[in-house]
Amino acid sequence: MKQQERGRISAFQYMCILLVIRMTATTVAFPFMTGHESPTDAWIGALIGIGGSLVLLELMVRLSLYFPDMTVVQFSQALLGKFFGGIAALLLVGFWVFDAAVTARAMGSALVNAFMPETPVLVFIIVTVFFGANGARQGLEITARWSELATVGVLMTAIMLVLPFKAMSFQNLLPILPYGLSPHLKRAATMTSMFLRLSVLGMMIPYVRNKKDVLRYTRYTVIVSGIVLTAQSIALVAVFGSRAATSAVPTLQLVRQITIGEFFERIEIIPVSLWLLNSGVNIGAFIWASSLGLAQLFNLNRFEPLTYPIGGLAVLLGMVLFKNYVEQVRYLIGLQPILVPLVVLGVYLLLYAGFIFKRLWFPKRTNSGAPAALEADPDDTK
Amino acid sequence: MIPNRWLVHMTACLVTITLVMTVTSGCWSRKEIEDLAFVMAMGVDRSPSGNIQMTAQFAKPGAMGGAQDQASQEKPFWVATTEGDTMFEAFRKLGYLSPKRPYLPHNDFYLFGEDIFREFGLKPFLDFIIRDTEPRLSARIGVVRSTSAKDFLQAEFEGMPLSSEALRGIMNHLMNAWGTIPDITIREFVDRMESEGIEPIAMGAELIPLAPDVEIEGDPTREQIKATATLGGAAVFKGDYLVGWLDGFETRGLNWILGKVKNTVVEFPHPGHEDKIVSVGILRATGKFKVEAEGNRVRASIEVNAVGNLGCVQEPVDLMKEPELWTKLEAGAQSTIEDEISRAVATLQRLGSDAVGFGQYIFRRNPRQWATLRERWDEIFPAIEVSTSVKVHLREMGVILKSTESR
Repeated sequence: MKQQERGRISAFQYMCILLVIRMTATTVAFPFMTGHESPTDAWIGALIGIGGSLVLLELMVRLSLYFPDMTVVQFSQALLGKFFGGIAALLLVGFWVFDAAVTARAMGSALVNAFMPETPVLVFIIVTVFFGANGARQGLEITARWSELATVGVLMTAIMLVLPFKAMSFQNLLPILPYGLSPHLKRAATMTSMFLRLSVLGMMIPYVRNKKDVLRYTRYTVIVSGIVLTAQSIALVAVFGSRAATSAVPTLQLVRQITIGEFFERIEIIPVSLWLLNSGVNIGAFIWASSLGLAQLFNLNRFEPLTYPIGGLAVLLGMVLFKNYVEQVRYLIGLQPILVPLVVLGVYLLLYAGFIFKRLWFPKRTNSGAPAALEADPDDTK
Repeated sequence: MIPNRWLVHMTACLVTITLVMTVTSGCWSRKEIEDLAFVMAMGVDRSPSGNIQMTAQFAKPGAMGGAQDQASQEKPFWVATTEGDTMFEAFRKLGYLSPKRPYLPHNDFYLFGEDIFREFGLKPFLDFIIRDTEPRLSARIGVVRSTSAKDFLQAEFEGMPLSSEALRGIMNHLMNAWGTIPDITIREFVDRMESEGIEPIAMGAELIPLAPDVEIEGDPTREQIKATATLGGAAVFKGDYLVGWLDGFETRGLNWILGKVKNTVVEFPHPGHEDKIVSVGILRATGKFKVEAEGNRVRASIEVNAVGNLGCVQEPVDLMKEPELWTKLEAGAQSTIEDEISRAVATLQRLGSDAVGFGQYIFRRNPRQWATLRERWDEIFPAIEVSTSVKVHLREMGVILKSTESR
């Protein structure tokens, strides 16, 4: 057995990583609000999305817990065989690299749009990706500790939502359902696709010390981030009314509205620096997951040498994927709700199919097709 | 091998630190405070050739503060005017006149000449303000009545040399002690513009030319103030275009409905002595309205509650002896407020601009019904029947119980 990753994290750190991933760059762009119709009652869409995500992530975690010592890359090969499992795993790994690039670009573009129009977006991308890749290279524990620090950002975001109270008017939240439920289903799809980025949990679960808590903490993640995001959508509508949906960087504009006693103003630098940190940790987690996944897929001895090349790939992708921020937002609200569920849910559907197939036809030999790199017998957990 | 690795490590660290330092400390797109010219108020007019004429009032930090008499020596602001086809171009062209980089985030007022909104509508001007990263959405938008914004920004104020500060002072005073101007920031203005069933309004601004002071005594180093300025009333829009004005009291009528009057003075004829005036100081007021629609018939009912104190009377009163006078005074105040409200609504109906948000009320409570009314709202709104109920509670009468009377 090749031990590519030696680190172990606690269930709380696991939750922190997931929270940071959910709450980063997307918090700045807030795609589930931006560009959708009927912003006034966006919280309905948010609640639908949270409900759906709760179910989907629960299923993903439960599958992982059947193989408590294998990452999703390893047990996909165990379930689907070396070739098809490999392809499924490669799809997931590819998605993580891609998403690291999307995240980096979202953060960079938001900063360029809102603060420093003269600075090339490449600079922000390189800085965040380099930070993330460097952390990923040191193993999961480093990323986990960073994420504990960056979770302060979630708290900060929550505070930021209350501070512009002077500009809020809760009458703006009316009417409820003026255009029916369909815009909310689209919005919920966007929200769910953002939650499916948490599929990196398939890589992290084997390294969580206390596996009993994993399921519980995954639910906490969805609920906490869901509450913050719903609150954010409500605060945005209360402040901006229908304009909440037309702003490119709604969260930044929200923070800009904070005025307390005519002197406590222009504090946007605090959340922005936190979002930068969050994006770095987020990208770090994605790079760690994809390089470890690749190493396990191709039976390499170490995953560390892969982190910088993958980071470089993410930088490159981040630069070439989108021409400008508009394309990025169009991806986030148009393509992502289709693409991400297609990849992640497709892979997990295959895995579940393989799992049920093995259960039904080979009840004793669940592990027959497993690669040599198996550490423990998954049957122990049943 | 080991020094080599150490070298690689150090290089990596140095590169990271340099990158982080350049980016986070803002060294890249840095703006030093001494290189910036702070725009304190901005005016936009139509130039004679039909372009956008932008006037910016810059702060002159050197002339601010300091000794008392210094303020009279030098104006703490200077004004530059440029022309351009778009707001962006005109703003950038300020660089032809300003040695420092024009910097917008501290700007509190966007003032527009009256003609420009009547002819061009809002679209060409607002986009820059909400698209660019520099302007703040909490700035105020004002329309200058009958003069150009360029002249308006030349106005000076006694007692507060920096005229944008003075304007802000007057604005706060009018909002807190009179309620005769709308309390609308650019953010709310744009929200009204985009929302269903409500039209934007903006602050009205007026230039007051002063007679030239002929007998100048003392230091002739500085000209006397040529013109000062004031705010008041509201510019009413319909869709993109300026359609008319509410005067100060009509604006207060609108503010009564919206519950935005904080503290104000209400006057009415003395009960029993119609040629004398009583004024009442209102301390706080709440206002709300309901709209009901049945087919084409729309009824609005407005409810205002106000609490106030007796301000002054011209005809002596003895409230100890005539306790029923309280109700008469309250009724007088109520009728004035009702009158203001009905005047405001009548003017808005004449202009055809639903600045109260009657349509928005229906849209928010009953979006389906609004969908049927929306297209015909222009015809429905002027015919809305409005019923007003105002309650004024007079609490105190000042520090005397009985008016002074000559024997």
